[in-house]
Amino acid sequence: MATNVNLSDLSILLLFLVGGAIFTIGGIVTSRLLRNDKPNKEKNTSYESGEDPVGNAWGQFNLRFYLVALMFLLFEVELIFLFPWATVFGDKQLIAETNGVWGWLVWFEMMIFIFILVLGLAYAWRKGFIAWEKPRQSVYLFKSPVPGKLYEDFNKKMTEKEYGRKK
Amino acid sequence: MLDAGTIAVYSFAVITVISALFVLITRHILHAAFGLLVCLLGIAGLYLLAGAEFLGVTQLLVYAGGILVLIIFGIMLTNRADGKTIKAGNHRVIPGILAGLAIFLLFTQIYSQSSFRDSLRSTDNNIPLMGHPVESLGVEIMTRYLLPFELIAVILLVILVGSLFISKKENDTN
Amino acid sequence: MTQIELYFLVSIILFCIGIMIVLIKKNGIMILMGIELMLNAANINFVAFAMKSPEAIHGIMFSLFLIVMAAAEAAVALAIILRVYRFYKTTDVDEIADLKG
Repeated sequence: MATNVNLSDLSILLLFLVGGAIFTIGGIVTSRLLRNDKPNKEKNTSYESGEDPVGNAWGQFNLRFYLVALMFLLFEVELIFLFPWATVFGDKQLIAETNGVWGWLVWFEMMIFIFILVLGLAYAWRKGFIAWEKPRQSVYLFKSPVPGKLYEDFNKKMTEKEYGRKK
Repeated sequence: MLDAGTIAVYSFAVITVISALFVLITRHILHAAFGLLVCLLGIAGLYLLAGAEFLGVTQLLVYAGGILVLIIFGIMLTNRADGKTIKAGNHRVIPGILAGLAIFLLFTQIYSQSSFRDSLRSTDNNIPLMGHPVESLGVEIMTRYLLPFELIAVILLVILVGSLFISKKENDTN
Repeated sequence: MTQIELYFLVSIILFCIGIMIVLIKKNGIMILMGIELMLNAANINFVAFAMKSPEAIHGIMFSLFLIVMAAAEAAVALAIILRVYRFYKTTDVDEIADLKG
């Protein structure tokens, strides 16, 4: 097999990126296969500055992370389409060939695309999927039948009595 | 004779197949997810070596950076077992493997009897590899593939609203 | 073996492994991974055919839309799996058999 692949610079860069990632993972896997494996209970606990860990590392994973990842994925797909658009949007030759129609056409096409997706973002925002849920502060609301002034008077009287006795 | 391109193509193909087999064989679901990650990276390398640069980048961004993260989040949300290791059990092992092998034989038979096989073999060294610059992709999306492109936006909107609605908690009334 | 044939072979092997995963594994998320492998196998085929063709851009466009659809499919499938998990407390497809006659 003779591949007459003439790769561009970008391809070579990306190939090194992908190959580097794979060989890093391969090194970790190889060392995992070759190393001694003698676990005991002390070694298997997660390191907590000498404290004994309580509970499980997998416990209580918030659903919010998942929802944010989901929205991220769908808007990343939008980004994929924005890249080729951006390379041809301001193309002078195409604009000159079509008397300037090309720029406006492409602009409105992409604006429609983005507008439809922004509707989804608006839905997510309106329904509160983006807002990070803060722990709600519970304010103690208690309506006492006794008016507040009575307490103040009582406190005043008691302090006067206290000071008076000390004197 | 072996040139660097050939070695790269073969090594990416081998990495892809081995990691896919690892996904099949392993019983730990998180290990399977990492095997899938290596497999997707290998496929991205194959795309790049086929001259489909933009597709390779898309594969890296959407698959390795998006779908796989979503899958790992899904694993973490559904397998919060009480300290147990996460097992992905098997069933119907023998029929499953037989079905896979049957489909493998079917596809290889179809390919070996196909009419385009000889033309692919003979022209491989003559026609140079077609490049696909991003600009031509952009022009195609904006002209010939305009309707699918706008429909993609509608589908993404539906998917966003639908999957958010499905996966929210029932008692979320806001 | 030419480069295109190697791509065909990888694509066929990935598709078969994907089918085996879908048939053999019990966990819903593992089944989703098998489906992703099968989609990728189809994508490799498109890229392989687009490699030498002068009309190559159409194969690339098809693969691009396929990847986008795969993202959408994964999002919905995982949402459904999460919902099922919250209701049944399991993702084992054998135990979710309420409608089984």
